[in-house]
Amino acid sequence: MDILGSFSLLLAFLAAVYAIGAGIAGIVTRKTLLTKSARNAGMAVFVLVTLAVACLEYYFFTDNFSMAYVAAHSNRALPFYYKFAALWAGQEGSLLLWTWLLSTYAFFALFVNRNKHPELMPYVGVVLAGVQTFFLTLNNFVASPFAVLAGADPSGVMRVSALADGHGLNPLLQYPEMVIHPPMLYLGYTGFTVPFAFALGALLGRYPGEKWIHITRRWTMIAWCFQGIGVLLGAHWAYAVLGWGGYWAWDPVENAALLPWITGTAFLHSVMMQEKRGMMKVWNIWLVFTTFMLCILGTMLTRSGIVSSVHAFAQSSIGNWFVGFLLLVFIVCFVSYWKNRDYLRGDNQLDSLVSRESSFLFNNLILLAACFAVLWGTLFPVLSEAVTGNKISMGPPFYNKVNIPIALFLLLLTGVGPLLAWRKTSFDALKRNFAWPLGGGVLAGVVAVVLGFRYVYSLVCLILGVFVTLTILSEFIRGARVIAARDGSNLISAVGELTMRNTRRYGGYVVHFGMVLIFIGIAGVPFNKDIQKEMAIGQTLNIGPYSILCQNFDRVVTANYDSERATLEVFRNGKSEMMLYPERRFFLASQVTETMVAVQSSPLRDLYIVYAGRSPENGQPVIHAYLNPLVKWIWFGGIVVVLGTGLAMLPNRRAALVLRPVNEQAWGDRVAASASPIGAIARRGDTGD
Amino acid sequence: MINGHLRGVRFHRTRAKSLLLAFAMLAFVLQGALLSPSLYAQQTERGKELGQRVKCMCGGCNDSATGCNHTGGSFSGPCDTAKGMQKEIDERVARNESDDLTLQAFVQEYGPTALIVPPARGFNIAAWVTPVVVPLVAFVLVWVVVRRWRQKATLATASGPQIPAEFLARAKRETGRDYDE
Repeated sequence: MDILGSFSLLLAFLAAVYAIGAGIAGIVTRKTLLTKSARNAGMAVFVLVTLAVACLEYYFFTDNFSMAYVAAHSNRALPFYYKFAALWAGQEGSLLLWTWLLSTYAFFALFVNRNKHPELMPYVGVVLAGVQTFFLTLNNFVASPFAVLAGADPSGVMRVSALADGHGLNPLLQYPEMVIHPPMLYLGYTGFTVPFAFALGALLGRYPGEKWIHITRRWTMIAWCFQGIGVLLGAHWAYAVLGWGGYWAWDPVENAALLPWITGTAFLHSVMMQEKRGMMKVWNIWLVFTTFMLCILGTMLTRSGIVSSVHAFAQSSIGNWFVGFLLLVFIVCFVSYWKNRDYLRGDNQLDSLVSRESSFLFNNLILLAACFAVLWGTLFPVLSEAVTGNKISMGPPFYNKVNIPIALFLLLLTGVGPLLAWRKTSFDALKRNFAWPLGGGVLAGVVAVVLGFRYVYSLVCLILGVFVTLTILSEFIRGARVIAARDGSNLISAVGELTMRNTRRYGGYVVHFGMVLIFIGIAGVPFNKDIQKEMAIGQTLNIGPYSILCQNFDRVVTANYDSERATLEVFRNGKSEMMLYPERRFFLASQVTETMVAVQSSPLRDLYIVYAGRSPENGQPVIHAYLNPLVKWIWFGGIVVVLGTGLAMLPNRRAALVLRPVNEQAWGDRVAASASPIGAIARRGDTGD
Repeated sequence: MINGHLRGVRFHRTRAKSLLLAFAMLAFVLQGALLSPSLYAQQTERGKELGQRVKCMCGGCNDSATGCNHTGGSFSGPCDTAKGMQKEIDERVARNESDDLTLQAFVQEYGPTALIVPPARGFNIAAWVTPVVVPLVAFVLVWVVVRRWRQKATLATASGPQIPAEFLARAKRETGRDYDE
């Protein structure tokens, strides 16, 4: 059992190498047997890596402290769910998780398409196997999670040794979100490999048309959604665990996770131009390439230690491997593009600057500007040190100054884009479509100013948020009215019908609405308040509308940690509202103290209490209270984005009916009899937008 | 004379009381300063603002001097280094030193990394200029490409099936929006 994990990892590496070799040979010789064999080897990688993961988990659950990785990241008293999550607590295990998720994606991509696209899939299989080979090289030869602890016996012979107990899991990771946050983020990072493999495969094989885009649309959305969930869960974890009252610090590792999400967002928008009008083929291919390379760059930043971050793993030489791999990927992408660039010629040109196409173009430009600004800020300290020899810091003020105007412009485009027609929009249509959303936004701004809203960015964000929400509403209502008038149904069921007829479009609007909620939540930051105070039992602290009475301090002892806990009663307008119990936990195995924040969350504001500990000077307990407005909107917005993405991935209802001949006839008759203009336009827009 | 003597005694008593009161107040303030330095709060908004522009140089966090909050330590609040930096900022603010001079003092002591963002001088100008210039150049490039596309588009026939004008007019009436006008 002890060598099963490392053995299966080695076999997985060999299978991946074989998949590359057999795949290339199959493509060159056009022998189906070879390409099938390569595909099966690619799928076998998943089985073998799964076995390795299962072995490592088994070592964690059986407290096998002869394994160096288990001894470094677990201990006997660790709860079982954290033993499970300890798999990805360190460099080696998290790389194994990465490889496993990648092999899972690869398995499903190969399996689902096993009888489809015979010209394309061999290329896709080779690219997927190539990426897997790189990570399996790291797992086997650079950062193996199956290293054992060894020591010399009295006769000088090296033998496997075991610790009596492990060093324990990093206390910062002992929080429920750590069980799901890294897998979600890695599902995003690794998921972008699938569209990358299809794009590169289509380019190499000169696969005709936009098929690779249709094939990978759902894969891209899944990866994009997971990446977004991972980023948001990370922000929530920082908020709930780190105890500094914030959720985003523009840390290099946070930025690294955001970058592929931004380019992925750009791709999801620009891809529609290729589908609808056959435009921007070069742009889309490079967006997918860039997104994948940013995923690798992000992994490198987290693991190499070249930028200082509270989230990074310890400094190691593993970064050189990633630099080499990044260079290789770039060269392969560039050579493939250069040799096949004629294949990417566009079918159509832009007819008007006031059109849906141009709004997508500007949306992409703004997203890439945001991506570039974040990347530039993240890497500039490294560049500056290389050029001037001086270390510099790039803190939040830089990112806020550069990115807030970009983000607000992007929010504006979120509202403008859907109101523009494909190809060209007339001035009359502009006036008609924009009048009441714009009026509503301005009215909201006036009301906010009257109520004393004075922060410019927050005010602009509110105005744009209302504007975008009204444009989304108008889109739903306008479409639903047509259906309601034609079918005689009520408006609400017509909204449902409309949404299910074009899930991609209306799911996209739901995603936009979720983003508006997130923006509104972020706009609350300038209104944050905080106060720190030494509090004895019976003393009170006042913040905003709340009075916080200190009732007690006590100790909670568990096998994993000793906790000092404050019992606080929160009053509002003299009435007792709730009890809060912020803690400080001293983790026995790692000998580290961490805060457990108490948060009372409401749509309007969060009351966020940190038990900062006892004052080092006089031993008095210190409470730090924060009042953070609108934070809940961010988490709720994230849920709406996920729901919208799920909706956009559903097949259109009409498409399902087309599969049934009897209903197809009925549908055709209905359209012909009732609303042929609508039908004609609907047929033209069948691909959705 | 007696009255004058009594007035003198009263005066001495009053002065003694005042001194005692002043001493008590001083002791109270000192006690506050000595016993709760962990809650060292900067007195002025300017001091706070400057503290946010300087990085805590303890090496264990990436926070500003004002925002330092050591998680994982024995106390989750400003560390001694941050408190020392806050204090120095307040002293310089009290002496009415300029912001630049105050920030420069930290740069002299710790190097350029003491500033939370680099000043727009020398090579560091690139940090501020590039995120503005590159998107602008990209914008101009896109504009040029779009113009070229539009010129070509006027020569090309629109793709896709032709839809009769009356269909489009009816669709416009029913949906309230334009389709390929």
